Amino acid sequence: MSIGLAYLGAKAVEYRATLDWITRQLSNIPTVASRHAHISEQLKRRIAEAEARISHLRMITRLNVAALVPRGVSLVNQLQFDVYLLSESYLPALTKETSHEIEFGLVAAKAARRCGLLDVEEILVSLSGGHAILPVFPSCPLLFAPPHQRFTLLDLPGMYHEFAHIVFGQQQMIGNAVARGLNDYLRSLERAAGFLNPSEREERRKQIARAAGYWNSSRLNEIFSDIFATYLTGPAYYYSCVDMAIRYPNKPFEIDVTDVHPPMAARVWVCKNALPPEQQKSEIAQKSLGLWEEHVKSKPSSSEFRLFCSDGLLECIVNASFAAVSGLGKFPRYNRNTFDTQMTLSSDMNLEDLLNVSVLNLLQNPEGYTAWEQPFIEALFQ
Amino acid sequence: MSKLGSLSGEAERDQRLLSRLNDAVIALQVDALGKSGEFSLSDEVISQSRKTLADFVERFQAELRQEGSTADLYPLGFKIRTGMKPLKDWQQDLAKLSHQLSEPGAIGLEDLPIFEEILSLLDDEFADDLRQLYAH
Repeated sequence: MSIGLAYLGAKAVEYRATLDWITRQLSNIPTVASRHAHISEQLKRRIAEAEARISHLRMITRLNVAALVPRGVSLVNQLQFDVYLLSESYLPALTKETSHEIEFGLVAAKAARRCGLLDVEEILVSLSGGHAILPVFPSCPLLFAPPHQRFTLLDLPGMYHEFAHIVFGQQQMIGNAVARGLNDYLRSLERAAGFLNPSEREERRKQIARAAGYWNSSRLNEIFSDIFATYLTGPAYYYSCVDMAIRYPNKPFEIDVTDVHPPMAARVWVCKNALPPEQQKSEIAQKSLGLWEEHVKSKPSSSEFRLFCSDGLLECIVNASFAAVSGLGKFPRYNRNTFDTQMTLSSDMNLEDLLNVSVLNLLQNPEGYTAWEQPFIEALFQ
Repeated sequence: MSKLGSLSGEAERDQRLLSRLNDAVIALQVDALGKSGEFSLSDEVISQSRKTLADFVERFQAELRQEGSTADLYPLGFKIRTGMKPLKDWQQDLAKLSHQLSEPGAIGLEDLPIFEEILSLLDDEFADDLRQLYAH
């Protein structure tokens, strides 16, 4: 037997032991049975899929065909992803789950369903880092948020960006529609090049090909998530995006091919342009715009940014995203244009209203903000 | 700013596609070696595996003709359009594969290089997802 096949045999044994350990650990966490029946079911399904991969790995070693070693290595990579999800992500979050995380998960799941993510059964929360999500199990994603997020509304619009990753992953037609829209746009640019000599034409073709390569699926996923979060929460997310652009010391116009996030200037642009005209006139949006313009006024754009993130290209992405989301007919757009800073506690208040009022209160009266938000936080998580 | 949402979403989507094709290739190889019985692979599994690969080849051919990009094949199509092997050669290989899959008879080890070439691109894509997840 070749060394490659022997290695695959050893890996089959190793992953078998790891899956057995994961299964035992899950059965030892009391809340898995009492509170997280749906998560438990999804994780067991994944374990069964991983077991099928181990069977295929054993099949390859028994066939003893060296030409199939690359297929076995592929299975090893897939099993490693299973381990990443099960042992390195869900298991620690379930093991260390606190009452604050349970409360946060209930609020997040309610908000997700109200926004049209009807398949969400529950959201497992880990208050252990920046906003992030593992959307691989769309009906029970693992949501990360900063530890202080349970005690403030500020920065919470970021959660809706994470919801958008669930939608992008689940609704493949959205990614397809945006990729197609972008492809059509870039091809139209190539056709509209006008009179160019052959070398100029070739240079233009190469530039457009680079732009097409830049907008890979991960970046489309990220920019869609900004557009969709704005669609769901209106000006609150626009402000949040501007705030993020200022807080993180990135160059706003820099095309960084190592980062799946598009430049902040492009993200802010799509958020602003994803707002309906009436929301663009709102005080939050106007103040966010002013803040952004002040921030970038001395920062030069670049020719690369103007090619990869031209207004026309970004507009095409916004339009294709909206067309795809509207076509699905299940996600209600946030339409409120005016916000009352004297909002009172009520049983029918929704989180999206609260987040907009929260931003307005912060911008109008920062000194009084903490006292203002306290009763709302208590009501939200009670 | 976290990359987890997009990276893990990509990894899952790439794994779904890779897993389906990988399993199908393995099943057809088992069949070609005359060992379906030994591994309890029914005729239905073999026929379904052949269909899985045929459907993929058809979709991939459309992607290379740039007729209706799909998010899962767009990166692969882009790699091929900008890679060293001429697009025409890829199209010829895929046409040959499509023909073989539509004809009766086993898909044998001699056909593996073409599958390998395609699957290795998907492997690279998925391995890159995984590498970035661990680097995150």
